[in-house]
Amino acid sequence: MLPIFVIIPLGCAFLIPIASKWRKGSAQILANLAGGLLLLFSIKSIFWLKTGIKLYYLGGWKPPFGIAMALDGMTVLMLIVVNLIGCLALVYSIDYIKRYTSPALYYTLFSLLLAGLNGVVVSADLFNLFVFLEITSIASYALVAFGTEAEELEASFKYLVLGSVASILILLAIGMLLGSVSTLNMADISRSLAASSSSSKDIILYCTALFIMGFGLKTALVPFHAWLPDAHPAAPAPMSAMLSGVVIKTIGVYALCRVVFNILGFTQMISSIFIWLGIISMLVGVLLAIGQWDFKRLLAYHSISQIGYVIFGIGLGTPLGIMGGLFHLFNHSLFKSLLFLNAGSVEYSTGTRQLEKLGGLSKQMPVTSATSLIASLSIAGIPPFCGFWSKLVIIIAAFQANNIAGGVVCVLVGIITLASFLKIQKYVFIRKVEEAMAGVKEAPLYMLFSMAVLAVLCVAAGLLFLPFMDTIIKPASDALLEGLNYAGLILGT
Amino acid sequence: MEMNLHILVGLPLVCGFVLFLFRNERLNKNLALLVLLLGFIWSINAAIRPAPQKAIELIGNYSLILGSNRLSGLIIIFVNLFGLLTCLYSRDMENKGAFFSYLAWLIGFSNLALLSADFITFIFSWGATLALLYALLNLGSGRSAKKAFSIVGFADFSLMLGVCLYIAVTNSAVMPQGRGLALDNPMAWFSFILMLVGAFAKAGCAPFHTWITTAAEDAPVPVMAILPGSLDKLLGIYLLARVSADFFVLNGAAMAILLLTGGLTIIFAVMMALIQHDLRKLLSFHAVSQVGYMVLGFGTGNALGFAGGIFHMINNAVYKSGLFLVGGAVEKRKKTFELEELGGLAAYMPLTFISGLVFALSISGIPPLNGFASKWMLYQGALSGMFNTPNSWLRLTFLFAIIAAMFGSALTLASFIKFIHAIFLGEGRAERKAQPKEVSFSMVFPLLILALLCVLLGVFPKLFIGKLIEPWVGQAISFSGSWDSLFVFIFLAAGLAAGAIVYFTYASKGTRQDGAYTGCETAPPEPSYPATEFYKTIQSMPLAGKFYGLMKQEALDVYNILSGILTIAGRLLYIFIDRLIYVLTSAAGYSVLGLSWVFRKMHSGVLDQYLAWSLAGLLAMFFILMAK
Repeated sequence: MLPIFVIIPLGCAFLIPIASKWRKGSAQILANLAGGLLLLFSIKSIFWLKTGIKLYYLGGWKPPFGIAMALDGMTVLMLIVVNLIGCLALVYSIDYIKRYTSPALYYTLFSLLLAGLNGVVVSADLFNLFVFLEITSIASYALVAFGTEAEELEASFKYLVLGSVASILILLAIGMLLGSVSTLNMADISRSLAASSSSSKDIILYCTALFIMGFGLKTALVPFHAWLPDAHPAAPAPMSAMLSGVVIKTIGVYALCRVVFNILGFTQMISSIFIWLGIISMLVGVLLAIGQWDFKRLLAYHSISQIGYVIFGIGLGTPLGIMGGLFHLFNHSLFKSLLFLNAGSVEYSTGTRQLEKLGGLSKQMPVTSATSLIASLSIAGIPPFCGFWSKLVIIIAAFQANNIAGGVVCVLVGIITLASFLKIQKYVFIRKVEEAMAGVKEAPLYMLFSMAVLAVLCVAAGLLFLPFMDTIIKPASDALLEGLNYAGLILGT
Repeated sequence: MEMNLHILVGLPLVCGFVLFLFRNERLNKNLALLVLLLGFIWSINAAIRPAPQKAIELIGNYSLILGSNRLSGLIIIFVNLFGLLTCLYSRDMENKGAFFSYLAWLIGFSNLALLSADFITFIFSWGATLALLYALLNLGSGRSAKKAFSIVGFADFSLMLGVCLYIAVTNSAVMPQGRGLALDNPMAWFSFILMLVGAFAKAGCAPFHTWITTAAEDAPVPVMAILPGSLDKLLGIYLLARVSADFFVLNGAAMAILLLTGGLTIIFAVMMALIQHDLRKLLSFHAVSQVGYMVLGFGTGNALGFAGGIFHMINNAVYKSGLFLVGGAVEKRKKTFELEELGGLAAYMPLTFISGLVFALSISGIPPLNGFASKWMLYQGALSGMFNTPNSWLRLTFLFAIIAAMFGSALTLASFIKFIHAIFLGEGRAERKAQPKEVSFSMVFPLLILALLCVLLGVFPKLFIGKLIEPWVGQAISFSGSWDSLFVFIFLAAGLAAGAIVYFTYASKGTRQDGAYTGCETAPPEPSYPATEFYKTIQSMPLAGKFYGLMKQEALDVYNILSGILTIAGRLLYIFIDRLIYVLTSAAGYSVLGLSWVFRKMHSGVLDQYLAWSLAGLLAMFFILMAK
C-alpha cells in the first residue's frame, strides 16, 4: 500500500493540467480529492503500524538492488503532519487562490509538492529520498515565485540558489557514501558502515558535516536560515503554511534525523552540535522576529526559532527529549500553519501585511481573530494549549539531561515569543483604529473552515496530549531511538 | 453529660448561621436570647463539673478535642452571662445589620477558645473572635473597626508566632496544664513576649489600648459593653493567666515586665480618663486602666496575686459592662454622650442611677463592693511578693506597682465622682429639661443583675473565691489582717437604713425652698460648677501638661507608630524592590529589542552574504567533526 502516498499526488499532478483543459474548476476538485484521500490513508497508516514495520519493494526486487519503501513510527508521524496540513491548505486554497490567474498551475505544483513530501517520508533508500527532496524543492521554488512580482521572484531566486547549494552538498555526501559502501539502500548503508573498517569513520564524519549543512539549510537552522524569511512570506498563504508547517520539517528535520540516527549513528559530538544549533536558532530567530512589522515575516522568523526547539529536543538524545522535540514538531505544524492561514486571511481581507496599518480586526473578523489567539497562545506555550506541553516536555528533558542553560534559554525564548505574539494580537486584532479598517469583512467560508479545524486541533492536542503522545509520538521517537538497529529491522535479520 | 462542651460551642455557632440567614428582627431577638440563655445554663454545668478532654471526630482524621479546666470553666460562665445580658439589653436598641448573629458567633468562638485543649484550635477560634470584633465594630464605623483590626490583628499575629515558637520548643501542640516552660533560653523568652503582646492587645493593656478608646467614639454601646468592656478582657486575661501560670514559669525579669506594664497602664489610662468629657471615652480609658490591675496581679507571681488578678477580671467585667450599659441607657433617653449636656438624671432614672452608683463605687474600690475585694487581694499579693523577693530591683518595681495601683485607685474615684455628678446629680442643662423616663425593663434588668452581682461578690468574696478560684490556684487563699466584708456591709447597710428612716420621716414631708436673701440687691446668677471642669487645672501642671499635649496629638498611639513604620517600609519596598524590578525588566526588554535591531541590520538581503554564512557554517561543521 505504501506507493499510494506517491502515486495519488503524482497522478493528480499529471491529471490536473489535462483535466483543466476541458473543464475549469476541475483542478481544485481533483487536488482536494487527492488531499482528502491522502489524509485518510495517513490516518489509516497508524493502524498498519500496529503489526510492525511495513515494507514495499518495487517490482519485488529486494535490497540492495531494487527501490524500497518503508513505514515505521517516524514515517507515520510525518505522513500525518504532511497530509493533514496539506489537506487543510488545499481546502483553504479553494477561496484563497481565486486572486491568482492560473489556479490549475498552482494545484499542479501543490500536488507535486505533496508527492515529493510523501516520497521523502516513505522512501527507504537514500537516492530516492534525494530525488523526492528535489521534487519538493523545485515545487517550492515555483510556488514561492507564484505571485511573479518582484518580491516573490527575488525571494524565490535566493531560495533557489541556497537550496541548490544544499542539494548539491547532499548529493555529494550520497555519492561519497555510495563510493564507500556501494549501496544506496539506507539500511544496507548503515549495516555496511557498521561492518567496515575504521578508515570509513572519516567518511562518516565528512558526510555528517555535509548532511548537517545540507539538511540544516532546508530546515533553516541558523546560520543556514537566511533564505527562509524571504521565501515564506512571499508565497501564497496556503503555501506559506505548507513551507513553515511541513516542508522544512520533512526535507529538513525528518531527513536529517533519518540519516543521522538510523544511518550514520547519533554520537555525543552530533548531539552537542544539534543542541547548539537548536539554541542558536531559538535565540536568533526569536530576536529577529520580535522586531518585525510584516505579519508573515514575523511568523517566518518564529519558524526558525521553533524549529530550534525541535532540534534542541531531539539533540538531547534522551527518550523524553526526542519525544518532546517530535511533539513540538507536530504542534508547530498545527499552530504555525494556522498562523500563516490567519495572516493570509487578514491579507485577503485588508490587502496588507504591515502591522502598523492593521488594527481592530477582532470585531470584523471574529473567527480569524479567535483562531489566531488560540494559535498565538499555543506557540507562546500557554497552558492548556498544545505548545505548552511540548515545550514543557523539552524543558523537563533539558533539565534531566543536565543541560540547565538550554532549559533556561527555552524558557526565555518562550517569554519573548509571548511578547511578540502579544504584539501581533495588539496591532492586528485588539487595538482600536481609525476608520481605515471600516469596510473589512471576514474571510470566506473555506478559509474559515481550515482555520477552525486547526484551532480545534490545537486545543485538542493540548487537552488530550497524553493519549496523543502514546499513539503517535511514542512510536516515532522509538523509531529514532532504535538508532542503527534500524538496518536489522528493515532487512529482517 | 457526655456532650456538654461541644454543645456549648456548637449551639451558638449554628444559631448564628440561622440568624444570619433569616434577618427577621423579632426572630433574631428571641432566638438569640433563648440560645444564649441555654448556653449560660450549660456553661454553669460545665464549670461546676470540669470535664476532662473529650474528642469529637470532625473531618477525616481531625478531631476537635475540648476540655475545660478550673479557670476556663470559671470564665466561661461569665462569657455566657455577658452574652446573655448584652442580648437582653440590646432588645430595645436599634440593632443594625447582623448584630445578633455576630453576637452568637462571638459567644460560640469565645467558648471554643476557652475550651480548646490544643494550640491550633485555640489560635483558630482566637482569630475568629478578631474577625467578629471587626464585624461588630464595623456596625459603628469603619475607621475604628480598621484600627482595632490592625492593632489586635498585629497582636494576634505575634501570638501566633509565639505559639509556633512554643510548639517548636516543646514539640507539642497540646496546651500544657501547669509545669510550664522555664524562661531560660532566648526562644522561650521570645515566645513569652510575643504571647504577652497577644494577650495585652486583646485585653487592652497599654501600649496596645488605643483601639478601645478610638472604638469608644462611635461603636454602638452594646458592642462596647460586650467587647472591650467584658469579653475581650475575659479572653485576654485568660490568655495572660494561662501564659503566666501554665505555659511558662515566671522569673524575676518577667514579673518586672508585668508589674511595670500594669502600673504604667493604670496611671496613664486613669490620667487620660480624668480629662475626658465624652461618657464613652471616659469609660473606655477606665477599661484600659483596670486591665493594669489584672496584669499587675499576674506580675506578683504568687497565688494571692493570681487569684486577685482573676477575681479582678471578673469584677471588672461585671461593673465595666454595667457602666457601659448605664451609658447606653442614658444615651437612649438623652441622645447624647457629652457629659456637659447631661445632669440631674437621678430623679428620673432612679434604677439606672442606683446601679450606676454601685458600679462607680465598685470600680473606685470602695468597700464593701467587689472592686475593693479584688483590689485588696491584689495589694496583699503585691506586698507579699515585695517582702518575699531577695532582689532589691524587683522589690523597687513591686513598690512602684503598689504605689501606682493605690494612686490609680484614688484617681479612679475622682474620675467617677465627676461621672456621677455630671450625669445624675446637679441641675442639668436648662434646654434639656424635658423629663426623661426610666428605660425599659429589658434594659434596666441587666443593670440590676450586674449591680447585685457587684454587691454579692463584694460582700461574700470568700464564697466565690473558695468555690471557683481556689481550685484553680490550687491552694487556700489567706488574707492577712482582719477584714470582714459582711461585717462592714451590715454596718453600712444599717447606717444607710438609719439615714433612710430619717429622710422618710422628716425630709420627705416637704421642705420649703427659698431664694437666697440678697437684701434688695440684684441677685448674682448662681454659680455653676460643671463636672467637666473638675480637673481642668491638672492640664496646666508642668509635667502632666506635657503628657496631655503628647496624648492629644496621639503621638504615642501604637497604631500611628505602626502605620508610620509600615508606610516607610512600603516606600522602601516600592523604591528598592518594585522600581528595581521595573528598571531591570525594562532594561531586559530594551536589550532584547537592541539585539533584535543588531540582527536585523545583519540581514542585508544580499545573497552572497547569505551564501557566505552557509558555507562558513559548513566549514565550522567540518572543523568540529574532523578536528581530531
